[in-house]
Amino acid sequence: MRRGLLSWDEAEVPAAVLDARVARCRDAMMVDGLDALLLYNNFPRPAAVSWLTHFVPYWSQGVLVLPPDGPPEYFVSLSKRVAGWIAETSHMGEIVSTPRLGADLAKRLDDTKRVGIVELGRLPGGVGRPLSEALTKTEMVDATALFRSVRHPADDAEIAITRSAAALASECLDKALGEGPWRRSGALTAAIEGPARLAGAEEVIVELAPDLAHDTALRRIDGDVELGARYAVRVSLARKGHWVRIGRTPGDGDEKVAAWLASNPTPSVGAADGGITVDSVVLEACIGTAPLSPVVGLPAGAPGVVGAVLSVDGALHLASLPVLSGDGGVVPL
Amino acid sequence: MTPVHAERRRRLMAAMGEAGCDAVLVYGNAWQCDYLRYVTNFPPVEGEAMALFLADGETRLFVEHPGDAARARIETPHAETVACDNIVETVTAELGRLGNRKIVSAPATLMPWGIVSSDAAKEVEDGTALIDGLLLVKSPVEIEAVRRAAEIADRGYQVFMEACRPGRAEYELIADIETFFREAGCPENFMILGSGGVEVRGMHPPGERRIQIGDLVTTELTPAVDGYYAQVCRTLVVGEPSQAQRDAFDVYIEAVEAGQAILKAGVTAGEIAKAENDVFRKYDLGIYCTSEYTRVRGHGLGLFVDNPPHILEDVDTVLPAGATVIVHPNTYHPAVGYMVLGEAAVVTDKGYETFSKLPRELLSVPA
Repeated sequence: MRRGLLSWDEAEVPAAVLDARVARCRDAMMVDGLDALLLYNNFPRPAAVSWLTHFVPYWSQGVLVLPPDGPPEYFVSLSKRVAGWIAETSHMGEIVSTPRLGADLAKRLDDTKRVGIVELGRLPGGVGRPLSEALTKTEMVDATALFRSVRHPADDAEIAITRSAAALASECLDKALGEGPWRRSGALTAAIEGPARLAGAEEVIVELAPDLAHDTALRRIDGDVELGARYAVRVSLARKGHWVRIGRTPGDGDEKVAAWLASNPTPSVGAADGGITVDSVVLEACIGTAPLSPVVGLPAGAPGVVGAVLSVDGALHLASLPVLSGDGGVVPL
Repeated sequence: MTPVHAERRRRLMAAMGEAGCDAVLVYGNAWQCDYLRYVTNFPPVEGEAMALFLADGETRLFVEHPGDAARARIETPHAETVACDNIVETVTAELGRLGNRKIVSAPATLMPWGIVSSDAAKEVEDGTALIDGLLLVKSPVEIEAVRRAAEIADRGYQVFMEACRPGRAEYELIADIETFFREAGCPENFMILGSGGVEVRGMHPPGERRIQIGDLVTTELTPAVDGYYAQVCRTLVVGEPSQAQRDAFDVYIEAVEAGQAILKAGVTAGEIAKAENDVFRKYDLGIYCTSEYTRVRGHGLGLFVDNPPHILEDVDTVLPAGATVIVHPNTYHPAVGYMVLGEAAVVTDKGYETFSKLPRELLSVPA
């Protein structure tokens, strides 16, 4: 559950920036002839709503309604007592607290003819069914492509926050690894996560591949396990709704991999260079409701993360690096 | 396969046999994964996942992220991990291939609309109640996990008390507790808090407000062990509690005791809520038992922080032996502000057992 610092600093994300993002969506809505755009959010899928309103849910679920004019309206399953906190940490219009999310949304949309829903197929049945049953005269269309078409390029505020998240993640990871060697997963995880949260991280997830002699799967460790002679660690960190990942494999070759990945931020599988071979690559960016999703290529102007499994002189290394797709190609963030 | 998961699978297969069910489709995400975890033991960390569990125990686990797929193959080796580009499309196609079998899905509220509305799911029935029944009654090995979670919650609360010093920001308190939980090997915790005085009407995620002398500081700590959550709710005062704070808190102590006095197998959730609320009504505080001021008077605990049943007067769910719940009359008090109190308990035939050793009193820390 989200339990780090959730607050809105208007100096970091001015209301005008959020209004401009809403305007981008509205322009696309008009082209598609939509009477409203609906964006679902919950704890693991906060990104579309937070991009438009700065609101990040710690719990429960809601749907943002973007009408053709006026501020976005938020229908949420949290209790009325939480509405004040939502208003404090976000920039939106009316907040409707309701245990009947789908039914009350349907009432709000009663006079619409065509409504776009971002990631319609993933809308929970508890919301989708009452909408479908009530809005018999309204066409509900998938607006995933519409949203993706306006989501990037990132504005200066998003890039600045993402960059600060990357700096914090890097600082906490480097400091913790510098205090090693580590023998137990719990102590290492705490050494990274604690300072990050103290510095105001919204969320921190530390994952480990605790023994590379066994496997390379990064996972959040349930329990406290012994680390192998070689292990990998990745920290995923959020600030103000924007996520980064940084991963390293401490020990011989770590600096060589970091330098190589920084110089080759979009490596190809199989590529070999200076004793480094690329075994697998995953590119991620925020393109919808999830903070980071696998993508084939980074959208133009988008921050993202490149994660790779590499072999260095025969030894496996895991590494992740925040990147930015700019005019000159993909570069480290 | 862990013993607790092996036992869950046995119970699931028995329940499916009784219901004449050939397959169960479950969904889970990083917010709520109890149905998925019950069936597969796989916890989504960031995204979502689904699983098809067949009557003979064959399990297919659907994930989208390559990293989740790699993790699933290590953490859930008994299941066939299916890495998908689009989980909704893949699972819908899989349902179509299952043909004329009796399939149920759960939870209905979270099952993706793209699946629910597909032709392939037309004959799929709602299996939420089937899984809810399994989630409600804990086996001894599950109760042991809750007990261990309760122990770590108690230790976490001690850390919280040490962290709660004047001048510290709310999010800094959480940082200290999360550091403790991670060191202890506990990967997950649900936690909200409140700090201040009579103006505080609830709890929320941590903000930048700094703790002040005289504050009431409320929190519910909910760490998980092996996926099982246990919750402890306590209220403390920074400095010496005032008489008004002590008097107000006595109502909450009396309400918890009233609820727990009737807590045993066979009682309904509504009866427990009424017992708690009657205490508030006795002191002309009944309005503070309404939804304007409080969400629930307790709830179930297990593989989710907020399992059914909700302890509310209109909920007629009968609590069986083996149910794990928290009775917490958390609400606003007009004299001093929001207060909380409660701890996880397991329902038995003769009453209940709690695991927390924290004193049930208004606590205080040095100013």
